[in-house]
Amino acid sequence: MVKLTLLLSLLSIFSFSIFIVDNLIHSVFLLILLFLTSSFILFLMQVDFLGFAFIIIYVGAIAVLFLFVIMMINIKNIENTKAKSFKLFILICCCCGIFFNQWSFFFYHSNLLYWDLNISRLFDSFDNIFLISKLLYSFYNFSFLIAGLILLVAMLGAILLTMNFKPNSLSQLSPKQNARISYFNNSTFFIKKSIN
Amino acid sequence: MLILSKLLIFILLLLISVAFFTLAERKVLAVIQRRKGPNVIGAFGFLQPISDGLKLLIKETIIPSHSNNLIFLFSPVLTFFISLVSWGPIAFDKKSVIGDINLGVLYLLGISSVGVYGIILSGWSSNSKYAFLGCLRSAAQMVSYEVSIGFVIISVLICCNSLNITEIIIFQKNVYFGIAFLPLSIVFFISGLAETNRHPFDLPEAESELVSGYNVEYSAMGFALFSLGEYSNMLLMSSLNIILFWGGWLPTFLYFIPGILNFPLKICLFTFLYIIIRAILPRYRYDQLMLLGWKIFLPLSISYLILNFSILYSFDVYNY
Repeated sequence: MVKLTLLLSLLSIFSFSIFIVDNLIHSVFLLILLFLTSSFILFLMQVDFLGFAFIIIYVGAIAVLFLFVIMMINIKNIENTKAKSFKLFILICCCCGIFFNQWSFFFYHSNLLYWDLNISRLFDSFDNIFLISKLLYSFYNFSFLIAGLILLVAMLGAILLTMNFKPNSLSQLSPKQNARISYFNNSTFFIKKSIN
Repeated sequence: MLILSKLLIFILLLLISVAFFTLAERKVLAVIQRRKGPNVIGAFGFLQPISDGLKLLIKETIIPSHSNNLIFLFSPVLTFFISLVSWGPIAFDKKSVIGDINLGVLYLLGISSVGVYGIILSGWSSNSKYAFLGCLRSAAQMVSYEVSIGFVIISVLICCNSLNITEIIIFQKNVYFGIAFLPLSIVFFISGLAETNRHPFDLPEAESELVSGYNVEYSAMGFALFSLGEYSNMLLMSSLNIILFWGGWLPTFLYFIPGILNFPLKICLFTFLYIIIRAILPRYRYDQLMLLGWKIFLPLSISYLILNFSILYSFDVYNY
């Protein structure tokens, strides 16, 4: 229980410090620490696969993306012209978050493991990945596929939003060059004249 | 207390092996290039790594005036820490593991994801254009090749149903995965080369392109920690390759080799391969590197995964 209160207080400190700190990249580093702390909380609750998944996906990919965006766009740091009492106010909120961590108390005094799905006999000695997959691919398979579709839409949207169709861009390996290659002196590819 | 002494001995031996790996690299490179490597200091240059370490210790640590001091000093520590800590689940023999966790391979993937930050932090905190460019390129390269490494690992894992490293090795008792999935092991090896920023993918730290990339502002001990971390990462990638594909500590056709020496000898073989590839091949340009990672290795590893799973499913031999 001590570990959980410690981790939750670290969580509240990091999350409040994200918008206290002046430098923008320090905020992103604090976000990374926040992700790490939440994955440690997951390890503490014995959900080890999700903990590692958080580290790989959030810390390893999403935060790297945030960092790249912030580093490559020339963002000027906002001058903190507000009075000092705002920071003090946030610090006090932080301390309240530490000292009134009621959630940790509730976690150790609740029985939220026994659902009404008649699969309680599976909880004996199977590992995390088996248990997650037993539900994810059978009972929630539609949600799983929809989540995949949402990710696909997000990826396509990001690519389409940043693409600009330049008519005179020089590029190699174009279909025209490929059509000039005749492998057996007889075959050429049939291509239509494209706009770009 | 016992685990502490185990850890201490392990770290000591790892650092000694990393130090002599630097010497081995210089000697083997020299032999391929028809010259002699370092042979002045000690017999056959054996004291060269020690003198290198001493030189780096004695050198003055220069901190740039406009750098972010805390992160500047923290990033080589982070890189070195990550490269040491990731040796936890690696099994040298049946019971010679520091921590035999059930999710060993996932742990290694997560640790290498955090290892990207050592480079990003160092390049950004140096407050120098070359370091920054080098760090961004290097981080993008590492993240790209980590994806194909992940898919290759999944292809191996659906056959042996466990992320535990000892179980993966024991599963290869009859035939190694490297013989069954030879193209996959080659893809994993090349992606491991790119992951550790090793030649021919070392554009982010090349001397002629970027003046040594993300660690240009680091003198003395910071540079020593970075190079120690890089060589330790190389050893780790070799050992991961051996665990996943070439049998780990299982005996080869040379039955006379004592059991405990199998794994280190295989690591030696792979490090020779790393050094030979460094001597032979020219360097990839950055866009060629990214093309290889995203347009060639990623479709290859995904399609191999689908093929693998289809074979397992159609012959009904998967077991969970």
